[in-house]
Amino acid sequence: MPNDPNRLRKRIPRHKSGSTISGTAAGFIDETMRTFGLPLFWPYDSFEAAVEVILNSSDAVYRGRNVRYGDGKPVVLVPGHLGGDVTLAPLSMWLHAIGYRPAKSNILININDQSLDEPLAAASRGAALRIGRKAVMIAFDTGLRSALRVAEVERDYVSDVIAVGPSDPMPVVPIGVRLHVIKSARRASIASHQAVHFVQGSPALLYVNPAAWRVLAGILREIPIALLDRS
Amino acid sequence: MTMRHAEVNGIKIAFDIRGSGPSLILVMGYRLNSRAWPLDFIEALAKRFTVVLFDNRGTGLSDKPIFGYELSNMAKDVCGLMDHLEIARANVLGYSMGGAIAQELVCRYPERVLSLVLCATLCGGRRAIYARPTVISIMHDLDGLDPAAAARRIWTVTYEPKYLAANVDKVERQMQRELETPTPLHAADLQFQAFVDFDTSEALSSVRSPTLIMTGDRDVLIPPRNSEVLAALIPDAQLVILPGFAHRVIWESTGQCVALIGNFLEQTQAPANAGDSYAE
Repeated sequence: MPNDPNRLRKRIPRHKSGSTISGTAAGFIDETMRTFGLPLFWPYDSFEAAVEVILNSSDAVYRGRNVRYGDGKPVVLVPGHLGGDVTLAPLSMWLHAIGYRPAKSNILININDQSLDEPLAAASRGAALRIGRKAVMIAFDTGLRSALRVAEVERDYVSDVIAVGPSDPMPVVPIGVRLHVIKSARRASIASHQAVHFVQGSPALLYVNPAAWRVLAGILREIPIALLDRS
Repeated sequence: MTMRHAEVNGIKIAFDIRGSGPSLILVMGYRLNSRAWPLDFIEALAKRFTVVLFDNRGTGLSDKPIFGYELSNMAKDVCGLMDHLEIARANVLGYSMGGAIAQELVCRYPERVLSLVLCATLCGGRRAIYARPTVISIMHDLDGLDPAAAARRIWTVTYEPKYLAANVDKVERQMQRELETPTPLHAADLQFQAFVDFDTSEALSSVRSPTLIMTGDRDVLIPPRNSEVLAALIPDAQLVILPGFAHRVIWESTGQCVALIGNFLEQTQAPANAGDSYAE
């Protein structure tokens, strides 16, 4: 049942905090397993991912076709679990090519630690101030937690958060933050009060999934420009 | 130049009127306002026409909202300005993105356009031939540059290199005039987005207004092949490709352009004078 969203949780028993592994470390390992399917499903998931990448490689979306041009708004890309700005470089270049102003998150490797909030907040403020408009944050899986914390604090500089493949369960969305969600249809079982855009493809590959990029461009296009209050 | 204001299509549009004769509305291009038209070009046309200059939304002294930059809506701005000035029908000249607005105007309000002059423009959509990515990058990637530095960067793809080398002072003065009221970044971005979205290629075959299409053969920003496409799409359109000039052909060869435009419009005036104003 490769499409069963809970298959990894069923097959891999959740580690409890024991005498040798702290609760934090157990959570980290659990997150890694759920994100990448290691180690039990590595061969199957790798094969599946390779097929998906090959099938999608010639998609016209990568060349900017079938997507509407952007309005230049600043966009901060927040990497997911164990990801960094480098992993989001293809998406960043694509967003620039279709008319947005992507900014780095200043996160080298996302280890889901709150210490990453400050550099992310600085990146969001900087992007907004440079352009004179509120920024939109695009957060991948566990990066959503940081993004929502920063968006809550930096409401004057961040208008919207777009969650791509958010981890389960969904974090609480602060009041005043507009959240848009893109999920893999393979993890469709989680109920959410937010409007969710489902796309086909592996959850682990959403950051290069052309269907997700197309939806992303549509969401960005619908977000109105919010000029910074300079008074 | 003292601009007046009209409440049009929900915003304030700044305009000015010069000369006398049949009405000629000039529609400026991307990021520029009405002060960008060459002074001798306006003076020469004003001797033969009532020239209406205005600032597109987002530029000059017009309002700069964060919405409504679709070129069809900017054509509605022009139509609203004509209503305000009680001009029933007018000759319309559009330069670059202004040519795209003029196309939207003639396609949506054909009864308001007496004759059409399209300069250095394109039809959009799949029929358009866009500039090379390096050229677009020079036009669009201007973050971090002050307005003067951005303008100097843009020169390199809008002026013909030899003209630019020989006329740096003139071009510099022109730039200072254009930058008296710089276009805010959000307006420039939204105009650019609207220009990318624009597509009249299907609608142009219905144009019945006499049309002159002109361009320079060294235009790297909107390649001259686009004018040939326009001439093929618009019935009975006249096409003039001026050798040796680039995107700023009106600035580089003002006298030649005035002669071409003036002669073309005068040929088409006879039926126009009867219905030039609602008041008549």
